[in-house]
Amino acid sequence: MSAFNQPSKRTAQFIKPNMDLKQKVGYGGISSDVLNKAQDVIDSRTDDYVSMATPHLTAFNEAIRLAGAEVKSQDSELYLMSLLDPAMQLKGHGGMFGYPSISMLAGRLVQFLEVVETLNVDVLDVCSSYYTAMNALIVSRVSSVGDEQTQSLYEALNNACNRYFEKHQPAAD
Amino acid sequence: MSYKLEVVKVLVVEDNQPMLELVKSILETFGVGQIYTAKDGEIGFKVFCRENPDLVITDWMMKPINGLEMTNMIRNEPMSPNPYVPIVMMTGFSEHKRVASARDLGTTEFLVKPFKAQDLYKRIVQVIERPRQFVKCENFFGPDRRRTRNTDYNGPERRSD
Repeated sequence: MSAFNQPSKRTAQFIKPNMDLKQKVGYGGISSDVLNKAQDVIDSRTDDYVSMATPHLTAFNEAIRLAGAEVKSQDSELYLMSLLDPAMQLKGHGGMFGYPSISMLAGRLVQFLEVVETLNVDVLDVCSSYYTAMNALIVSRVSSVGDEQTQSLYEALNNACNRYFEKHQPAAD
Repeated sequence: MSYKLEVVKVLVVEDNQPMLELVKSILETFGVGQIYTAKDGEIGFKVFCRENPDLVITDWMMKPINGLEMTNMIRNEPMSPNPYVPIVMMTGFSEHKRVASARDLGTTEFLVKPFKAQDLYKRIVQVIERPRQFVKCENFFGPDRRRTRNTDYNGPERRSD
């Protein structure tokens, strides 16, 4: 039977959205002045990001150590998640609290960890390099993405990821 | 004329205290009238049941109950006062497979950290101006995972689920 001749099998029910929220708030959005003030709230935070990032960096380093001890384990996903969690926290919060440099590096690390499928020594080497680089930025309080040190670290780590993928190309189907 | 956000109730669930305070401050600057906060999904669900907010903004990675699990509870637990509430998921993840898994568990909008005030505002506008229709079937209840739907189509379906 061709797809065209098949009877409809869908049993899903579609429920139209209510407009309660729209009716509550009315029209007009909010002004650009208010949006600018809200952005100022983000830009002017004085939280100590260094103390905020340190536990995540420590957790990331510990995850590398634990994963290294169990690198022959079949449970790659569990260890990859333990690496991914602190990396994602660093990526998410760096840029919110004045350290876009950390978000930039950690963002690339998160992308790397989301693509690798199995844990091995080479993955952990790349992770260790990211740890060292982010730790250096934190210790020397380098927050800007435009900083020369940030840029050179980003490029070096990106090259390390590329070398990893050249070495570990997925098997052809 | 501008939105009367002072009549809106928002629940923010986030385990990172400075981040929780930051989101709260942004919403206050937008003019949101009532902001409830919780430090994890377990407390978040309790506050949700008690206060019945108009919008939920939640982090993903939290313990003991994460943002996805709380979303599932809001959508499916019998005690949930509003399974249709819009839920904005904040996370550092941006890969498609993660977005898809959040969407498949009933998330309405996705907000990638770090974000700008404008990004949060756009998600709020989206849930106000373009609320998603809901789908209820055997194995899913939540916002329609497709943004647009041709409701005039009466032909056969190529996929059975």
